[in-house]
This record gives sequence, C-alpha cells and structure tokens, in this order.
Amino acid sequence: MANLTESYNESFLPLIQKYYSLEAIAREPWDQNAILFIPTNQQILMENGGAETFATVIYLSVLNLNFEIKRVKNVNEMSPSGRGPLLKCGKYSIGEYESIVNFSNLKVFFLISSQCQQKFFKGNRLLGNFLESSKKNEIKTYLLLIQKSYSDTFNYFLWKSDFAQNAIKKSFDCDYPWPLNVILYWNEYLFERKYLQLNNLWDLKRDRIISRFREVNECLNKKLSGNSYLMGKNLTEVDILLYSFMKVLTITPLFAELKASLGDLTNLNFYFNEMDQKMENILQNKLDLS
Amino acid sequence: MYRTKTIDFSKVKCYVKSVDITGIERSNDDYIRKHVGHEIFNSGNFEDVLEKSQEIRARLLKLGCFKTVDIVIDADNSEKSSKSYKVLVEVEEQNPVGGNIHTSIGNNEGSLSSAVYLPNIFGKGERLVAEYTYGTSNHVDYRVSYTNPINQDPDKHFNASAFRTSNDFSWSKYKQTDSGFNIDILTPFEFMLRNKYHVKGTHLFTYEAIWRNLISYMDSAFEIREQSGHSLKSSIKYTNLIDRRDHTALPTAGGFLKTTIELAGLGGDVKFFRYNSDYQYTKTFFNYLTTQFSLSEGLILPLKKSDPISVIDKNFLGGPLSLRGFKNRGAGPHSDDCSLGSDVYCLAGAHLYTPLPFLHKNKKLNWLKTHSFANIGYILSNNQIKQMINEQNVHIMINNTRLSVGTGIVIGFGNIARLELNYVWPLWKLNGDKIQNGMQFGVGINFN
Repeated sequence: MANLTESYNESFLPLIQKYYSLEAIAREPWDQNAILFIPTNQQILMENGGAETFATVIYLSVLNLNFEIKRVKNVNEMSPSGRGPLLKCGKYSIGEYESIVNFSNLKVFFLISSQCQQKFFKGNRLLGNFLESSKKNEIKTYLLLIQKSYSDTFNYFLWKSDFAQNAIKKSFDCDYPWPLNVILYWNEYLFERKYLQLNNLWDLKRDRIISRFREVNECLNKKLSGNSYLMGKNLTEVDILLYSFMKVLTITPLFAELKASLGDLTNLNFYFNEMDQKMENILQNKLDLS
Repeated sequence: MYRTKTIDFSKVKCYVKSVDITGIERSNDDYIRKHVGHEIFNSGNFEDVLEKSQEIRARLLKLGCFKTVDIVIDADNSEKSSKSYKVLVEVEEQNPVGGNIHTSIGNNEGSLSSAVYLPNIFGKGERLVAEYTYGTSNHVDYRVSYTNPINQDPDKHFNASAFRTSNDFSWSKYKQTDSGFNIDILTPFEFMLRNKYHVKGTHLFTYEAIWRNLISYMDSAFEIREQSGHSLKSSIKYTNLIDRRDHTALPTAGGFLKTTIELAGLGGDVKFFRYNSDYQYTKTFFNYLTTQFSLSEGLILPLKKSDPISVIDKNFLGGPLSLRGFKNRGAGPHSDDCSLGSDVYCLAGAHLYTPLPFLHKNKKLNWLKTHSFANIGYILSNNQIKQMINEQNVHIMINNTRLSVGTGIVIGFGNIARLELNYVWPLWKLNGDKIQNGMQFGVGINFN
C-alpha cells in the first residue's frame, strides 16, 4: 500500500491494486482525454433511470476534471465491475459511481496535497476527502443505503410495470438484432426478477414498497434537519448521489407515485430544490437533459 | 508328404443366385438393398464374387448402422448347377442407444469428450448425438447433432447441430461464449486432372447463427474491453477440401488444399467477408528425405467501412505449429500484453523431415522424425494493404515480415495429430511481438 497521509475509501482498489500500485495511480496526472462511457438514451431507464450516470457526471464536473462523454450499448459489459458508467482515464478503466469517486479523489487529493495547487482547487474540493475516518465510514454507509433503497424500489417499479417493460423491450430492439434482442431482454427480466425475489421484494404489494421507500427517506429528511447537506455544512459525494436519484424521480413519469409519497418531507424537498439550482446546469450542458 | 496346389479363382466359373441378409431389425429394407447393389449378380468367376462381397461389406460398415458385417459364400443346393452360389450377409445392428468417452487433441490443447448417441433412428442411417467436451484452456462444449445421409448415400450428409461453447483466449485476455446452431451439407466430388491425376475432395456448405458473448479479463487492454458484450453472427460458409496426403500428421507424399469462404451479414450485427486457404505439398527423395512446402493465407473485409471487425473474427499469427518461434498469437499488433489480431495474413513454411540417425532402416519408427524448418509470414491491416497498393510500396509488407528457423523432432500420433519439440531462432521480429526463443513445444492437428 502507498504511504499516503489520508486513508481512502478503497472500494475500487481490489479491482485495480492487484495490477497497479496506489501511489502510481495517484502520481499520474489526470488524463485530459479521459472518456466517460454511459448507457444509450434507450437503455438509461434500465440503469436506475440514469441516476448513477447523472451522479458521476456531476461529481467529475464539480471537481473540474476534463472528460468526454460517449454513449455505448455495452457499458455494463465493458465495466470491470459489471455495471456502468465506465471511466477510462489513461490506462485505467473504472466502473460504477463509488469507484470513480474514489479514483478521482485519489488523483485530486494528491494534487491538493502539493501546496502550489491548493489555491487552484480551493472551493472545488469535496470535503469527503478531508473528513475523519468515522465520517468517511458514515459516507460509505449512506451511499450504500441510498443506492440499495432507491435502486431496489426503482427496479420493482420497472420490472413489474407493463409500460416500462415495453420501453425496455424497445431499448433492446434498438441496440440488438432479432432474435438477440428477445434473448437478452428475457435474460435481463429473469435475472432482475430473481434478484427481487431473493430480496423478498417481488411478491410485495406496491403500497408496501412505497411505504418502505418512504421510511428510508424519512431518515434522510431527519438527517437534513438543520443541515445544508447530509454530512453537515459541505457537499460530499453522497449528496450528489441522493440528488441524482431524486432527479430521476422528478423526470421519469413512471416514478410519479414515489415522488408524490415524499411530498410532505420538507427538509428533503428543500434540499433537492437547492441542489437542483446548483446542478441542473451541469446536467443540461453535459447530457442535454432538459 | 503334403501336396500343395494353387487354385486360381479367376478361372473358377460361377454365378451368384441370391444374397440373403440376416440380423436386420430396425434398418430399412430399401436402404440396405441399395447398398448391397446388383453388381455381385454380374460376377462371372469366384474372384469377382470375393471382391464384390468385400465391397458390399465395406459399404454396409460405412453406413454406421452395424457393429459387425460377416459374409459367407456357400454353394446353392437348390440349383442343379455346381456353379451356383449364394451369399449370406450376417449383420449385427448397433444398439438403439450407445455411448462413448474419448480424449482428443486440438491445437495446443487436449480434451475429454463424453457422448450419447442414437444410431440409425429411422432405419436409413440417421444419427442423433449429444456430446459434452471439457478441455484445457477452460474449453467447454455442449452439442446436440443430427446427421442424415442425403439420397441414402453415406458419403453425402446433412447435419444440423445446436451448441454452446466457451473458450478462454488468454493471449488476448478475453473469454468467449458461443451459443447457436449450424446446418451443414457435405458432398464429395472427383475429377481427372489433365487426364492423369484422379482428384477427390469434398464440398461443405454451412449456415451458422451464433450468439457470441465476449467477456474481457480484469486487466484486458482497453481495445479488447470496448468490444465486450453480445453480438449475433449469421453467416454462410463454403469449404473445399482436397487431401491426397498419405498421412495426416506426418505425410511423406501428396498435396492438401483447403479453401474457405465465409459471408456474414445475413441477419445479425456482424458483417464481413472472409477468405482463408491452406496448401501443403510433400515429396520424399531417396526414400528418406521428406520435403514439405506449406502456404496459408487469409483476409477479412468488413462489408461496410463503418462496421469494425471484432477481435473474435480477426486473423492471428504465431504459435508452435504455425509461425514457430512466436507465442500463440504472438506476431502482430499488441496492446497491454493483449494480442489484437489483424485483417490480412500470409504464412509460408519449408520443412525437411528425416528418420533418426542410424535408424533410417527401422520402419517401425516411421512416426518419429527429425525436423528442420523455416517459417516466414506477415500480418497487416486492410489500411496497410491499401496504402501498399496505392503507394506501390512493398516495403510496408517487407517491414512487417517475420522469419524463424529451427530444428527438432516431430512425433505423429496415429493418423491424427502431431507433437513437435523444436529449438527455434526467430530471426526477423518486430517490437511488441511475443517471441519464444529457444525450445518450443507444440501439439495439434493443423500445422503449417
């Protein structure tokens, strides 16, 4: 392990550190030709409505890191972890939001550590890097909580809705020829159904799913009481992820019922509106999200 | 004292009155009758009867319906003439269900196969086989095949197979899983070349539809990673094979020509045109010195410029039985230790085989020979070929040519595979090639 002063959220490391040393990763400058591979417009509904994609784009933009966006149909297959989005930076290929955040932090932190760069990054650094270990563990916990609860709820609504199923089938029709589109659709359907069954969600009624979803958001609402952000006064990666999931609730008609269930959570709604004012431009510019 | 006398069967006049076949249970009468034929009834002497009986036995065994075929020629007591004979054909049919387990050798891999088969299902030589194969390099194959002779001719057949295969290509750092089906039609052909050479070969027409899934390793190069995912290939292929070698693994005489043309794009999202050919010619001088010349070439062209060719379909060069002195897929473009393949290749080889010193008179050691060789080849992209043609610049090809020489021993396994142990010197190589200097071991069926 590299001898760095701060400990890192190392979720991406088991995938990479077998082949590259931590210090080597940190010392290499950010590749100005970095590319972020994201799902196609047709596929994005299946990928939690695009929440992780939005979160990754926002996070990299807030850190002022240069990257190009490319939409590909096989981003999940390209990703080493099996899920997108995928960041190609130099010789490294990193998949999923949390891993990309940790990778980016590693590079940015190394730059910030050298004093001559501090002024440049002032105002752009995300304090997730600079919190003590217990807070970092709390960030990790909230990332997992938001990811799991929102993702499972979205999947339930997607894979049990006829309307969503037709949209998903059309996405496979656009990307793959017959009969591969049919085979891959049924593969995905059976996989997701099995996942929801294993998590005891498939057989639950809609109302029960909504009430479980609301319970999690009530906790988040309580956490936001008296705070601008989830971890206190400063923006962290967990805020960006939560905002992205809530943005998907807003823009996807399929999840209107879920959005309505959060109507009376004032802290959460105020928090979302504040974040939307800051982040919406990034999404519009980078992803043409109107 | 015993007296001996030689009987010349060709002078023994006789004729065949009847052919009786016993032991048939499931086989169709017309099918058997067609392969017994009528020629035996035209025999004029006993030698003819013997020869034609052997031919009947060979044809019946070739059908694949019988375990054993025994022929008894007996005098026909129903006729007053002493020249009348009857032929009794006693057959034992294959069991309705059979199975086998066997090992096989591929190119630098071995595998174990187990199969269950249903021979002669409808009585006319049809065959249904379900097979499972497990090999080195994580090769796993599940296959169900149905074979049917065409016009009841065992030399022509129609075959339909459904399969699921997975392979590890560690030299390019990806794993590939193929699921699909293919339909083959095989027919023989023969003709006289210059009224002197009798040429026999086979035509093979194939249609295949394959769902391919490429899964890159964790440390694959990005050029491989970005091709991960699913694709569907629907193609027709024609293969022409003429094999006049006296031995498949260690020939001493004869030529071999195999040409394959494939067109993919009848449905699916994989579209290309591919051509491959392999040629070998072997000749022995002074009973001991066997020289062999081989030439392989191939090219693949996308049907549309905008459709890139996947690494799954690319051509590769290098290996212990092809371009010796280089690792498997070791010659050609590489990125991060991954072989990427290219579009056009050509490989030539010149070989000299001799018996072991002081043992050249021992015919029992024909399967073991010394081996000296030179291999030369190049691998280029379509763009490089176009540049070479447009600029009339042969140096592009010369600068990409690899050359290796070496010596060693070669062992032939039966009539199927060969094992080579060589000491190789790669003389011409490019930066980035994966070379195997020194000892190189190879085992396989196809060699160059």
